[in-house]
Amino acid sequence: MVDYIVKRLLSIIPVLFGISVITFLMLRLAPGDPAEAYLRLSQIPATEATVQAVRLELGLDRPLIVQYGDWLVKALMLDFGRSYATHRPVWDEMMFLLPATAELAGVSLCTTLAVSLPVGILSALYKESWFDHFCRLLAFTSAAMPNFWLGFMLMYFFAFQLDLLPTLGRGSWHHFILPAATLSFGYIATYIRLLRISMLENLEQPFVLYARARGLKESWVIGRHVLKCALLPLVTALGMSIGHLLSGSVIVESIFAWPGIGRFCVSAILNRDYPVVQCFVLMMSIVFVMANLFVDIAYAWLDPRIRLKGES
Amino acid sequence: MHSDIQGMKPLGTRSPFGFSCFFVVYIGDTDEPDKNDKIARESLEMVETNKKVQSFRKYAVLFISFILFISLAVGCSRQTSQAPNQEKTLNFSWDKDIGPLNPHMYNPSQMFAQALVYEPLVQYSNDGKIIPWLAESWTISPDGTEYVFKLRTDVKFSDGTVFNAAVVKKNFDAVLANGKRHEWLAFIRQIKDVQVVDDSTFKLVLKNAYYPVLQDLALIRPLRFLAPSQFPDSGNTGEGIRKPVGTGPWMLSEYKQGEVAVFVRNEHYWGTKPKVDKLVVKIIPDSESRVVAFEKQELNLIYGNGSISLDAFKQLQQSSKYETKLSEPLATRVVAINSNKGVTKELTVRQAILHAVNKEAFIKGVLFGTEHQADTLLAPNFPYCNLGLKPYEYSAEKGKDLLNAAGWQEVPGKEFREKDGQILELEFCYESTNALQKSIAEVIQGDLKKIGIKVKLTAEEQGGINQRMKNGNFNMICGDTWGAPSDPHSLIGSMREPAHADYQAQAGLAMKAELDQKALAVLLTTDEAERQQLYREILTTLHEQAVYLPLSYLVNLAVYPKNVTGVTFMGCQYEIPFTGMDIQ
Repeated sequence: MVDYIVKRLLSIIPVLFGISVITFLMLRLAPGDPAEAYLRLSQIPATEATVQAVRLELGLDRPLIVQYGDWLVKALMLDFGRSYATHRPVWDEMMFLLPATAELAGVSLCTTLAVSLPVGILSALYKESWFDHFCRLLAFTSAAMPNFWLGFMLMYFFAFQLDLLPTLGRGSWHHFILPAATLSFGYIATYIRLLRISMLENLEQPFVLYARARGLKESWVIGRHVLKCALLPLVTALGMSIGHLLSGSVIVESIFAWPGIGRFCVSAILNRDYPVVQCFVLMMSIVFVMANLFVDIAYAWLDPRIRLKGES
Repeated sequence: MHSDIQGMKPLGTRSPFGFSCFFVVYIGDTDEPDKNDKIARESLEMVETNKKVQSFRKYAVLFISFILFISLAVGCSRQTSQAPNQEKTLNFSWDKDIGPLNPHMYNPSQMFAQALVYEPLVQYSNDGKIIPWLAESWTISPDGTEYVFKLRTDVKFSDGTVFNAAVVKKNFDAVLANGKRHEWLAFIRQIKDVQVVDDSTFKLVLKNAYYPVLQDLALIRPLRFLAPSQFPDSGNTGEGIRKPVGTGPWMLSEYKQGEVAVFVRNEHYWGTKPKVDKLVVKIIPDSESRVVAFEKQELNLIYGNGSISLDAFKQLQQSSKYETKLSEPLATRVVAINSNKGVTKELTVRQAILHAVNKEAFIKGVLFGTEHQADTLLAPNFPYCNLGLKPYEYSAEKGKDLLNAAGWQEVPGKEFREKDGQILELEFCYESTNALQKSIAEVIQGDLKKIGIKVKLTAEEQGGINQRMKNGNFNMICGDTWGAPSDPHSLIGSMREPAHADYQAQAGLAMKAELDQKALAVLLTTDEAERQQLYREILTTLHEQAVYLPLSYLVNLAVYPKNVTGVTFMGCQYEIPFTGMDIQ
């Protein structure tokens, strides 16, 4: 297992290298000039002279290979340069903003699991009951509901009408409730349906029949045998969700004025802020690769068949 | 076989919460063994089900208790957080972080926040006049190349440092050392020398006469003054500053990047001190969230153009709880019509377009009546711009007549006009992320269709639109004028820059070279009458040549509760006069 993990970790290096090259080239191929974007943000007219001065200052006048080589050498030492828009070091900006997003993503993920696990299990155990129908309705509703709309509705009722929660910003744990609820709502419904289907499939498996034949308690059969195997697709989804929660919370961050990385990076993309986008893509690549590794390890732990096959 | 009841056992149905549906099942004593087995199996299943129900009920109770606990905790902690506050605090919001507030640099520092901390030598008043500020008076040499400023002697920075001519020179030197970054400002390129005459007298020497010196000195950046103690060791403020310390009425006291900035009154301030103790700027990127925060009384003021959607403004305006205000025109929403591309090369087509667009309906329908109709490129309240030009009145019939006269004929059975087999078609380009520009494009597309012009809408990212502005690849394109205090001289200056949409739109005019000469002359002349005449000629030519379709005059809006007083507007779009605001 250790060999496997080391091997997987080492395989990240060429993946990251490839991603960095592709990102670098794609950014340069896309229309739009970061020098002009900077001037626009500064409300300075973009004349030939001003654009040239900014390009010179940002080092965009150098050949592409030199720019990439310079970036790569510095990136290896965690120096991702300075943001074209803010002029602050990119790594510092990321490290400043990432904790806020990570906190929100962590709370959202915990909320998702805390709600979807029991509800998903019950939905499977009470198949075709009104509760199951309600969960199905919930899943369809959440799939159809854009999270910006849900965010506003939650804000309007719980913060404005009922005055129970703060409207915006980050501070106490109250501030987490509305953005985390908005962010996790879509995931909760998906996870419930995923777990329900997986539970129902596993309930039909022969090992469940044998477990019952051995006279095991039903709670033990469900908890130790069925649930463990039923969690496999959920773990896969979870692996992807971690990356999505970290990189895709821009709408929720904007609505609830949450000072996170999503907002920062979307404006960096619009403003052609190359150093920020490159650093963000690399970081998210690492998150996705690590999440996949975590999923594979969790698979082996949850399903002995996979673990034993690997060992043999 | 008999039917006597031998026993009974209550069992539950599969009801997840077990709130109801308990009923009685009778296990019959029968002489049919198969039937008895079946009944027994069913009974056992029901027993198992009942266990599940019990277990489910336990989880449900736990879950509901958790929710109740959360609600209770939120309620309790809310009670503790509502402490009375004696300080007068004005809560305001902005969509971006205020930035490092370097007075000599640009983005990410936000102009409104720079204007709170730093002050100019002269100020641009609401009526377009230049008034004394840190400089109490000034003299200009007859050839227009020397400006001598007499500085106020009672000015101190918020850290207690004295403001004098040496500080002014130090700041000018720092800006000039980083001159490449400020080349966009013609004034910077014209500076030859800066001199300290005495402690309270400062002299500015120019290479050539350049009349908008005072207007450019009134800009929020880059020529406002940082305390000498806050310069970096290198002296190059382009690399950054220590702390934002200026002479302005406010000083930054707390700052959380991307979340909040708190400004307090500068007790050393030489002028009228702010009436409120604290100004809290909350960073709220989303305009709808800003409205909710305002209605929840987390904000006392909404101010600026685009700070909230116009329909939200209209709703707040109709509410009896709030006061609303609109400023005088600050800039113009305008569509440039390219005189150098396709069908818009023809003057009659451009004039037909100007007649065909129903601006009144656009302002009522899209802008909710919040802006005034623009009939000229620059509003008459701008210097040199009250020229009495005859507007192109809305008349689709006039537009049709002009097109008929130009040979663009209606073709039976076809939607759009044609000439020599060519369809009367043009391309309107707008920013894909700008909802207002999209609305403008659609309104114009609809209006021009009525007179037989086909409009192809092209939405692109800002980068793509910039490229089109530079290379003239458009028939019509959206934009705003510079606004006060930069207009009219910045607009006239940008006409001579090929990278600007103005230049490209005018490139097809027969008198373009003459226009450019006049644009240069108007900035250099020291004769006021000649300057007025040159402006008249330039702006009249542009009006007659129909190169611009002015739509509306852009304004700042303000919404505030009734207990907030003293809300006014300044001549410049990005300066907010917080000093006079008070909370009753």
